[in-house]
Amino acid sequence: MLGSQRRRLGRLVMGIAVLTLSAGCAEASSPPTAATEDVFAGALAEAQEGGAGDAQLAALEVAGQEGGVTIEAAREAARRTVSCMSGVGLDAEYSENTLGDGLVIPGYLVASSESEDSAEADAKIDDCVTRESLWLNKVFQLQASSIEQKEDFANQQEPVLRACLEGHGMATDPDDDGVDLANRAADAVRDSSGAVDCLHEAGIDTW
Amino acid sequence: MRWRTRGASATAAAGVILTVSASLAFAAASTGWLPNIASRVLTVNGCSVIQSGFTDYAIAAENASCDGDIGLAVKYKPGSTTYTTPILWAGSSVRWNATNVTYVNVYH
Repeated sequence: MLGSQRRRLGRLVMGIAVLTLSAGCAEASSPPTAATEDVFAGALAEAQEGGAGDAQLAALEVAGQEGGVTIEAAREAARRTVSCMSGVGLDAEYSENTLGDGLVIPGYLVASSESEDSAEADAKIDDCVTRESLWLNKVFQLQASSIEQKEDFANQQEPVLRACLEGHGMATDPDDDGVDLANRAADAVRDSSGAVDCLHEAGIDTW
Repeated sequence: MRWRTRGASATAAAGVILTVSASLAFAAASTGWLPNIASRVLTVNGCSVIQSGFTDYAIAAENASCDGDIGLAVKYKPGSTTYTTPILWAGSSVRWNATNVTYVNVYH
C-alpha cells in the first residue's frame, strides 16, 4: 500500500504532513527530527510573513512543540475567526463540518444578503481568516492523525470504491486496498472532470 | 488575506480562456471567487487544477501531480441568503456538497 498510497497522500505527508510521520516519533519519546522542526518552522514562518495574528502564531508554536494541532486548538482558532468577523460587522457563526471519514473540522459560516457589498465582505473574511486560523486550520486538516483517519476510512470503504470503479468500467487489482482504490478514484474524478466520482460514492469528501 | 496578487488563468472546458485575478500567500495562492461551472481547468500557483461542479456540489482536483495541497471554499445560496464556507484542504481532491453552490475559490 505504501507505494500508491504515499504517491498521492504522500505529498501531504511530505509537505505540511512530513510533520505527520515525525510527529509519531516525537510521541514515542524520540527527540524531534529536523524534518519535524522544519515543517512546523516553515508553517510558522509562512504565517508570520503572511499576516497571522499573535494568537494563531502562538497556537502554531504549541502545535510544533506538541507535534500536531489539537481539535480544541482548531476550535479556538475558528471561534477567534468568527469573533473577528462579527467585530467587523459580518453575520458570522461558528460551524463544524464533519467529513464522511468522521473528521470534524471547526470553521464558520458567513451569511450575506444581496444588498451587501460582496467584495468588501470577502476582504473582511480574508483578513479575519488570515489573522486567526488560515495556517492552523490547514495544518489541522493535513496532519498525520487526519490523514490516518482518511486512510482508515478509505480502507473501510474498499468494497464501495471497488464496486463503483468497476461499475464505471475500470478493472481493479484484487490486491488493491481501499487507499489504492481511492487513489484510482481520485484519478477518475480528474480524468472525467468530476463526472465519475467514486470518492463521493464512498463518502470521501477530501483525498 | 495578506495574499500577494498573482495572475492565474482559467480555461473553460469549451476552450474559452478566462483570466482571473489570483492571490498568493507564501505557500498558497487562490483564484479568487469564480462562478461554479460544470468543468474548467485552472492554473493556481503553477499547478493545473480541474474545477467542476453543479448546483449541489463543487470539486477541485489536481490535474497533475504538483507539490503542495489543494483547497476549496464555496459560496452557496439555498434561499435569499448567501453563505461563505471555510477552506477544505486535501492532497489531491476536494468536494463541497451544498444547496445551490454559486461560487468557488480554489487554493493551491
